[in-house]
Amino acid sequence: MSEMRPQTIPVQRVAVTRSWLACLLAFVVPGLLTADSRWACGSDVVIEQAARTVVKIYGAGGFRGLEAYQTGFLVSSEGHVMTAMSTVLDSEEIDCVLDDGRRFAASLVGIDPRREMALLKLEAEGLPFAPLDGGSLEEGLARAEGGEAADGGPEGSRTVGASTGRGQRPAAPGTRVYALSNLFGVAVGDERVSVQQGVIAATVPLAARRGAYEAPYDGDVYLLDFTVNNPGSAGGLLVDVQGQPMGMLGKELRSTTAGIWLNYAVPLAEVAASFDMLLSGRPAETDAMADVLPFDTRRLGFLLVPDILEKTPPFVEAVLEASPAAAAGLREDDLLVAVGSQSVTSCAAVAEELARIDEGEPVRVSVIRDGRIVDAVLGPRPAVDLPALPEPSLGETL
Amino acid sequence: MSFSSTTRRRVLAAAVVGWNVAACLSGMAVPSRAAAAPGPLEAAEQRAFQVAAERGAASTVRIEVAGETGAVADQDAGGTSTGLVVGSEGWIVTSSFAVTERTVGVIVVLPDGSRHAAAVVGADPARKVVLLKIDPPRPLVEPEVAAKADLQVGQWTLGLGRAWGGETPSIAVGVLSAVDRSWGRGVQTDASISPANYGGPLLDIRGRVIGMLAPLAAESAGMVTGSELYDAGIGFAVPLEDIMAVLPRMQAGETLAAGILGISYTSRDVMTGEPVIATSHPGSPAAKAGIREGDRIVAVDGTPVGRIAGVRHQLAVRYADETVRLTLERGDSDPRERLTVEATLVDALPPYRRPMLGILPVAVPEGNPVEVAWVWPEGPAAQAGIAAGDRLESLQTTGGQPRPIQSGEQLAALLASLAVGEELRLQVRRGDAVLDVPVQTAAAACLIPPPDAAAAATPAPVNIEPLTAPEVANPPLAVIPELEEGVPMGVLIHFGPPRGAVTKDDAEPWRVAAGRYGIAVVLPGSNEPDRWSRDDLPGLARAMETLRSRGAVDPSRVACSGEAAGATFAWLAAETFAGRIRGVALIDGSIPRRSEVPQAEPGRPLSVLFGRPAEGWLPADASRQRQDEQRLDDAFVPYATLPEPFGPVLPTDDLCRWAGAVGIL
Repeated sequence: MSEMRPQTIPVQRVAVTRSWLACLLAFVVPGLLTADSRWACGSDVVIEQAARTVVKIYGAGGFRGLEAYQTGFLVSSEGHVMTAMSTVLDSEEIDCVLDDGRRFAASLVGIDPRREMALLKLEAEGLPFAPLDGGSLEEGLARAEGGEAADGGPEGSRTVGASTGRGQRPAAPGTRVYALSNLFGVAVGDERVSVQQGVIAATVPLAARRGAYEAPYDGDVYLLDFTVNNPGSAGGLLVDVQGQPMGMLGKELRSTTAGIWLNYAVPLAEVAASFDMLLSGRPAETDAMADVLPFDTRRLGFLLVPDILEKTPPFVEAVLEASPAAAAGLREDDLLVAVGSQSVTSCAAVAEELARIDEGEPVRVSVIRDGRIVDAVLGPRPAVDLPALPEPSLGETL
Repeated sequence: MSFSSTTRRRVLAAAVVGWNVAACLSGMAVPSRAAAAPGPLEAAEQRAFQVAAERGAASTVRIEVAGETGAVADQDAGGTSTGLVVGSEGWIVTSSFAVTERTVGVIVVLPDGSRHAAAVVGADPARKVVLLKIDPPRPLVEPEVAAKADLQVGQWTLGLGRAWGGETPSIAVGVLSAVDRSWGRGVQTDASISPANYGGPLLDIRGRVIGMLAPLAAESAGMVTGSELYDAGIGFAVPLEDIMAVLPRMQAGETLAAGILGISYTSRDVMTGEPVIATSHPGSPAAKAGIREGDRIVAVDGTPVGRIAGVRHQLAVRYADETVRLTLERGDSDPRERLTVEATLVDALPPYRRPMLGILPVAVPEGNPVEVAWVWPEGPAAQAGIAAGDRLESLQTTGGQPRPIQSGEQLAALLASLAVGEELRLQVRRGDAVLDVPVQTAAAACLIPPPDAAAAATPAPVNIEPLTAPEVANPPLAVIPELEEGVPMGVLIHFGPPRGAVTKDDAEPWRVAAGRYGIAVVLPGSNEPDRWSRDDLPGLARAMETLRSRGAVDPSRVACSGEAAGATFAWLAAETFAGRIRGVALIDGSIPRRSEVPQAEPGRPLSVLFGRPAEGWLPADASRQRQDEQRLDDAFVPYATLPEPFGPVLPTDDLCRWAGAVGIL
């Protein structure tokens, strides 16, 4: 943005023709002098603002399968950096390189095992940062230059207006975004991180794993239509084309349902909640998800075919007389396709979904019978922890 | 009202100064909101994406599958997929990644959330399209079709998917990368195409449907299913125009079959090889049209073709029962004779039984006439009176002209296209006379000639050396006979019990046989000390290249053999190098249970030799061999068993003789 002062043109001394020429120029010159802000393409400004908040992180690793680098971004002007929790941070020394080339040693403030995020602290002031409270990148830069702390108030008193902040509506599919990260570590030395572009494909709950390790976070993530699951991308910044921070790039994980590698980012609201928690030093929330005991369908009076395949289709094998299932009209050879509104494609899935229904709530199922879909309501769901029923032998009639 | 010129100038000056100041003040304002506004193009494109997706969403449905899906092992279809409406009365297409013709338990979830049972009605497996039918309460929304002729490479394309669930479909944005890809079956995009949106629509920026997303494979990259390609910047869609063209047939319950012509080429290289015919499958459309060995295809339905890939591109999109016009060049005249034939493609070829005459040719350098070394006493050539020393000059089928025989390979190709029991005449030179001999072909058999039949008068000296090749850790050891200049050698690759690297002691027993019969014996070692694994195969391929640099190799006499665990691996090696290995010997071993026995094809001869040890042969082994023999019978593959049980020493002499005879004509 230019701050030049153009000169006023002395009109009195020029001739008539030259004064018209001068007038013409006078209209044009100010436009030119302030041109770079008015005529600039929006994206390079947004990218410039975003890149200034992104940090290259170097730590432990550097051998097969575990790289020693990743990405993070500044979330306060005093040098708080949010990044992904990973083995890179398992180091005595964690180095951060800012966009302007300055290097800082970072200390690990805390880790959030459920969201797999971590908070680092650099000793610095006046750094550009990405606001977590719904402000745009531009506002963040202004606040940093104006000498404000992240929240504009005493440390520890910040409130994260995650879902109420401006621009925090859940992003619709098709929203254009930029992802900034040091993928593959190609930004060496003082180089700026890399930029990728694409759209948000969908917002879905995360169900993912890496090898045998299941990802602990199962909240919503933004699925992206371009490849961000690269080494070094985790912890990077996702912004929309208007300069609004959107979230943090995720880790290299496979979908448990489809088996394909996921390209995703964790929404900003979660990053904000994680920052809040780590900054205040509260212990990480333990996800008090009660162990879901699989539900024995015989309590409702029907038996599914033996679950011997990896994904056994849930056909009804038998229905007990005078049971809730019989009263609802369930029959042998019905194929269960949904419990409530949730589709089920295996016996294991049926048991899981039935267990999720609150005790006492009616059990609605949909089945395919003779090529048609039939709905049935199987009465209130009984308790799970009744004494165990004896194991049926194959072929036993109830 | 007129102003004096001075006043005018002053007013003007004031206006100019005022304008300057105002402009500068507004330009200086920090922060300037205008600076961070998105460029108008980006915002407009984003809006366009979202509007196009809304239009396409009305015709995009979710598919839920219980039980069998189409996906391969580690590419789990996960039970949910996407589908595209093609008919308002309830016709929906999806990809065979999620649903096959045999799948039961398919549910369609419409955009309004209602669930409907679906029946699988028809399919087009070559394009991975499956047609479903539901009974919707209200007519479904049919999409607008984007015409193929209007497509422009580089235009925006969007892929919609419902596999993740939710009210709105997922969106993937990219451009149209190419049209007429995957052997003419699909268009290509760089939008992210994956199980998340297979079966869903590929839209243009106006929300019209270009095609249905499907995992079409790129065979040159060695893929099997095509679903390995997600995340690679390449994805395919079957044009909706093409689907609509065959929709009535699928609605009638047909499973459309790709059309087969029934030819094989002399070159194995699809991309650069020239389309010269090696064999035509007896009883096939090609055989009925009169296409024969040596013909060269120059045009398909009037479109000129120069490479095998060009022919394939034209034929791959045809269905069975379609007729194609082929323009051929034939003969040795200059210019060559040109003719056009018509062939009606079929969905399957009749089973093939390879015919033979029972002649073992002398090993001679390329370009030399075929001289008989040995005649199988029980074979048609012997019955016809052909003897060792005869030179075969030409072959004449009933009603045809005599075709000159230029080499053993060419004679093999001529014979391969004939039927078993077919009558023909051979023009044979014996001494100074040329005889015209009638012969009737018989079914091919697996033979071990007697020791004097194929042996050289004096055994050639051999060299035992490793076949080193770049990046091969354990090079195989080879026993290579030193033959006369240009005389080709046969090859026998032997896999013993896996023991790690092979030593010279292992090679010694082969020395005499290799020299006697002119067979290069290749002995690979296993990378792991106790088992054979697929990692052992690439190194073997490279070692074979090294062998070819040592001397001429006769492609009709390449075989492999294996002992015990090595036998299973020998079979896998033959599968991997299909067409190049003409015989497999299973010594104290059997055909792996999960392997398929390939159906006999002209141009890909295969025979199998069994051998049992004198000690340690159990009734279970004998019954297993009978099962293997039945499988080979069903596939019309000839086989034989070594006459004597062997042991403890491997019958190297018998194996080398057999290897030399796998190319028997």
